[in-house]
Amino acid sequence: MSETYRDIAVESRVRLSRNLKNYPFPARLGAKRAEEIVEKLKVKAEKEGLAVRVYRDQDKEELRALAEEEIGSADFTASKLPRALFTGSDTVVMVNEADHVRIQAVTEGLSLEESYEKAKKLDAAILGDEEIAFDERLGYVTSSPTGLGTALRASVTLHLPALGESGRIDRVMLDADRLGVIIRGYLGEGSSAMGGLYTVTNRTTLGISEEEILKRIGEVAQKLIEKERELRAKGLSQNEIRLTDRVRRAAAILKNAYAIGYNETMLLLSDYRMGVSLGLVEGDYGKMNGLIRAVQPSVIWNGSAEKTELAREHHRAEVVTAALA
Amino acid sequence: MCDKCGKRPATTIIRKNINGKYSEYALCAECAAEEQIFSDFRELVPAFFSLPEWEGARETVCPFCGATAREVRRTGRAGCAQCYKTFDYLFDPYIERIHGDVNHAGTVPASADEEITRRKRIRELREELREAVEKEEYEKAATLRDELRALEKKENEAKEAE
Repeated sequence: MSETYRDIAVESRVRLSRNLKNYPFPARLGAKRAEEIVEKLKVKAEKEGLAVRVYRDQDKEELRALAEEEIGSADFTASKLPRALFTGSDTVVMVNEADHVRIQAVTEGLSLEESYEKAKKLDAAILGDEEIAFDERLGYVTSSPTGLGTALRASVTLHLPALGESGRIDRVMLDADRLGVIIRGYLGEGSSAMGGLYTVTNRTTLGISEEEILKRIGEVAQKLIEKERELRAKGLSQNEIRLTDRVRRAAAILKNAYAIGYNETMLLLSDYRMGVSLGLVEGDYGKMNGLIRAVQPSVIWNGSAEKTELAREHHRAEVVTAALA
Repeated sequence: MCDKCGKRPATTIIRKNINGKYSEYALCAECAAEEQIFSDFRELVPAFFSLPEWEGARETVCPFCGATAREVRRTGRAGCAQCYKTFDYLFDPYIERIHGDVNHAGTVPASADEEITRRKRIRELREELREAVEKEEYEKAATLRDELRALEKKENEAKEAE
């Protein structure tokens, strides 16, 4: 297997949007026909061994948490239509979000091809017998013109604290935009990045093949990874004591906290993760990746029995210490 | 009824601005087309937002899903696949801005694959033909047979081409 750069690449995600021919898109679909689609596709999902959850207008809290875990989405939470989630270990199918079907596959590290293969397989399994909205010129027809063509979004989440702190990331963002590639802060507001996390995603989907999109995103991600490694190595050689101290403190707090807020957790996780990659502390990438989702506000809110701020911070600390023990 | 000819049903609303005062006309398709050609309606002030010429004045409705031009403009989204044809004058410039002046270059869904569609239709036709013969509907059977033969011929040609 080719290198997946797990020290810096958190995960690779591929999303495919599909619509059924002969049905309006969800925005104009109506409850009855939405239900029809859910019922029809549910059968296929069950055959595939996916867990099926059908939503009507309930469970907003649960859906908000799922959106933070990137299983659901804000649109999916807000919708009033009958809709469904089919989930597998690393795949999710969303039915009746902005498009009839959105297939998503996630793998750890930089491994877009692997994610794409999984999404493609699921596409064939769920929609292989269906007539799909397709146009020779526009490709797969999606409700938003931004997704026409392949209707494929490939994104890689990267941990780039050194690049972020150096301030050079803004320049890189501009350069990438010219290639039809978007780099933006992940989880943070606007362009700021929470915990040094960024995503690299394709902006264009039409006039470019699936393979070309994956290749392009992969190449941009690799360049960023190399730059980040370079900056980290430089930082370590110039400031070894300071950096080691920072990383060890982060590890100590994460492993011993009894109540901890979201922002602090993300900042410390960032330092800790960087420390692991530089060999300054021990740690497991898989566990750290899992924590990024597990400590999100709605996820913690749902998991916390008592709904006070302090109770939630305590619950978050429990989640973190258990994962890193 | 059409405000101009008074004969045909009105299908198009046209808004006209005369010295800052808006008037609305409901016209039938033919009168609307005529008005479009002749000059005074050219002065047509963009009725909604800042639309050039006719765009906003026409209350175009998608025949498949019922989405209106106004809705498409507000949401930036299509209501159905057909909308991209109905509102091509809204979508095409936008698509070009996002993606460039390009055509689809990726994979094709199984259902859109001509060969697959053809084979599926052949299977259906054989079944329908069998049923028609069984029910002694010979006229229908003849039509089905002709369609089937035409498709089978294409299928054989495709095979030979390989």
